[in-house]
Amino acid sequence: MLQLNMKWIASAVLVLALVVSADVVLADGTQAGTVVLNTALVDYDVNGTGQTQESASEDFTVDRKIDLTVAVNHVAYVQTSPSSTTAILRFTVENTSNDALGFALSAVDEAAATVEPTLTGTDEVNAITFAIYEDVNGDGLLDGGDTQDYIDTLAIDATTDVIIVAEIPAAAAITFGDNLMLSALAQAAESGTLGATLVTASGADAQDVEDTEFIDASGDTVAGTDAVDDAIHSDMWAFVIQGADITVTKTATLFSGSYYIPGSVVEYTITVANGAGVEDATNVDLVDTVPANTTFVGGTLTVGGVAQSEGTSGDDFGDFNVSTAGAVSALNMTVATGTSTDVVFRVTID
Amino acid sequence: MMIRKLAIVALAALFFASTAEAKQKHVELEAKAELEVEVVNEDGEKTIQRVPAVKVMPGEVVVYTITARNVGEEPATNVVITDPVPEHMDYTGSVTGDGARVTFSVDGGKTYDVASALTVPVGGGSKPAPPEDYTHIRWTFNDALEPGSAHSVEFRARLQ
Repeated sequence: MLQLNMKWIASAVLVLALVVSADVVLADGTQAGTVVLNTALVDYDVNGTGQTQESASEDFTVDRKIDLTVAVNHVAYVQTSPSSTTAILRFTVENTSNDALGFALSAVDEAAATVEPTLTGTDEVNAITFAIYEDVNGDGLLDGGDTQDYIDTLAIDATTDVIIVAEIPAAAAITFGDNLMLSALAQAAESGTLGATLVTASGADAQDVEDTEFIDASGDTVAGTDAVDDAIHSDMWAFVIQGADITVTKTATLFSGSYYIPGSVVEYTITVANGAGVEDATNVDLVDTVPANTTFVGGTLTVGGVAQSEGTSGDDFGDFNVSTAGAVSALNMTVATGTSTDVVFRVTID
Repeated sequence: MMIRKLAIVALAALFFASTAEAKQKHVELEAKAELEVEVVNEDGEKTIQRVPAVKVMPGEVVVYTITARNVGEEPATNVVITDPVPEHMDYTGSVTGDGARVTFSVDGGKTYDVASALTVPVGGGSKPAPPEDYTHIRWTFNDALEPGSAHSVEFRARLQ
């Protein structure tokens, strides 16, 4: 038992040592252009007498490694709806180089068969327009300070947010998706504008010169535009078009009397339901004309179990014979996803 | 033209003679920084070649070679080479020092000891010093460096 404990302690110490040493090194390494100088010294005696110390030095200049990571900032695909002009996909761009960099941002509407991430749905929708911005304040929304199509400068190890704002066609079919791929191309860092294109070292090279090397991985390669070592990284994500999924059912029950005969009162229940996993439906209007040969029973209209003032339209949801002649109306209702609202009223059979 | 060349040679001779008198240098030191790259030869065999440290990016391991050469006429004794691990570099634990006793410092060169005896403080106690905590490497030659002979030592360090 004691032996076991000792082993455990030893491994704990080892883990601690690893953690501590990992802390010493900066995540993305020594700044490009740093001159690393090594100086060796030699002391010696001749004929038992100490001699002047000699030294020798050698230096090299740290080269610039260009590396970046584009990653989507969602875990599930992004729901949007037909005609949305503010459908937003969120990404992050991380500078994993050893120098400050700028980035040119671009996006393509991918025609991949399935939406990303691979869940249900296929990519049969194309955004009407889309634009890419650095989301400077990181709120996931398009604001005044956000710059379009570029990141001017990003420090070593730093991460910034990027959004794609898209306009979805009105005819976009529910449950279908649209894949968009964001690509970032590393550029020189600049202030307030896009920096210059980076050039890798070619031909003559020297130990005391800072060279530029691309060492980035390939990202999503559906378009075949993102290889390794090209200063580009990309990631794809999808909108899934979600509307509401409204269904209406109407039932009639005999409220008073034994038969459906003149003088009996019939209660109608109209259930407005919205499907699970879709968008909340707002401004839902229900209009139901009171059947011929029946008479609306005043004071019986309820919406969601709440009695309505029937003589005025707009003060609450329901009215009778005001917004539509001879009809029960329930207007501007909100039906959240996975819920239903009952509209109930009674009529007397003439 | 000829006269001018002669004059330069004469001047140079004078200069060397005077410095040699003032300060006799018996041992010269040379430092190299190289990278090891894998090269596949015509037979498809992989070999490791050393090239000058031209392309060095963070994470790269650099091989430092220090050569002491006796350019004098007397044997040099008690030869000690000391090399502070360069700034921005971590010693990797790889050192070569045939014919020398290799010791290290973890306190900026104040004290030296063999690797197994080095500790660094942790919490209230201490732990074995990891190679990246080494600040200096020292080679104490076992034997005299004879006139005309040279001896090289090496260590490897990784760019942070």
